[in-house]
Amino acid sequence: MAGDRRIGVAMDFSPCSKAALRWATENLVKDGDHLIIVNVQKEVSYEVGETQLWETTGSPLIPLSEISDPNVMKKYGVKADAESLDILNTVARQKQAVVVMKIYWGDAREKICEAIDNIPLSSLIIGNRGLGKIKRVFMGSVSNFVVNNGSCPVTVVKSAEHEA
Amino acid sequence: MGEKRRVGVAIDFSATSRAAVRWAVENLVEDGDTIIAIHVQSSKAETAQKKLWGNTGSPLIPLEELREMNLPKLYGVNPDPEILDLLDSASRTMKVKVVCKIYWGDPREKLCDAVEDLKLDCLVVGSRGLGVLKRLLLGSVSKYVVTNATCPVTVVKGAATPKT
Repeated sequence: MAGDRRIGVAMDFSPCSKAALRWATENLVKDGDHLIIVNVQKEVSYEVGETQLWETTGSPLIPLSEISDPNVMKKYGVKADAESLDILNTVARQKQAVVVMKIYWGDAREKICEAIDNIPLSSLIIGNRGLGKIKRVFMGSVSNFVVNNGSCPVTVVKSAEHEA
Repeated sequence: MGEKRRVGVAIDFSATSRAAVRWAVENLVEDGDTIIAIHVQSSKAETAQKKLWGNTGSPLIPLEELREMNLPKLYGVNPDPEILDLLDSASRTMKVKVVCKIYWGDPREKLCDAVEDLKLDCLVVGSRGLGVLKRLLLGSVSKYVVTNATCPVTVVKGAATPKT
């Protein structure tokens, strides 16, 4: 049961998605699992490195060592913050998890559901609100769409509301 | 990660709630956790137990008692033998405590209340239940619970074949 699962965490590096990552590593990921960070960027920037190459299929699976390497990540136009990297390194060490990242370009809603089918993922964890400008009350549009349409079990992790 | 967690699973004995139980048992639950199977009866049911426990919900019923024939009849519940088997093997192989709690009323509200009452660390629900309106993707109860419950909620789609 454990050890051959591909657990996805949708990350836009917002505080909510970090909470989702933290929950996943503490509660769901078991020894030997594959933890796949799914990040969706809005548009392909034609000036930045290799993004054009991976527009249709998404980036290849980027291993943890490269995620931490800013030179590699510059090619994709993505920067993982220190806190997230820390969580990923810890789970890789403590639970022998294989950590990779896949970056897509396009609409987050569609691309995350695509990721579930293509990678494929045995389950997906997502935060309830991201970086969107419209602060929906309880659930963002992306998490809402993914819960409805994703073909695997989807876990929505709410983060503590600090706003008054 | 080693702390004992209280995992709630919403059960209406439909096919997707069976899938929810299966997913929770195979993926989420670990040694020492407590599984609380939550069943919400319509408030139209007129059993003696309902008069007694209508407001707060039934006491926590241990798994062994649920398997006996009398108790379920007393509460007007018809437990699905497959679900009981899943819970039973979980309790034996993983040293997991399994209890059941029955509420009366609207499943949407009661499940969200249950998260607070029972201090659940997380909740697993199926995507569609026995409702008359067979919504295409996500039933009204699971949709409401994902949005409003205060703990992480996992929605398990029915009859999902595990992807490797």
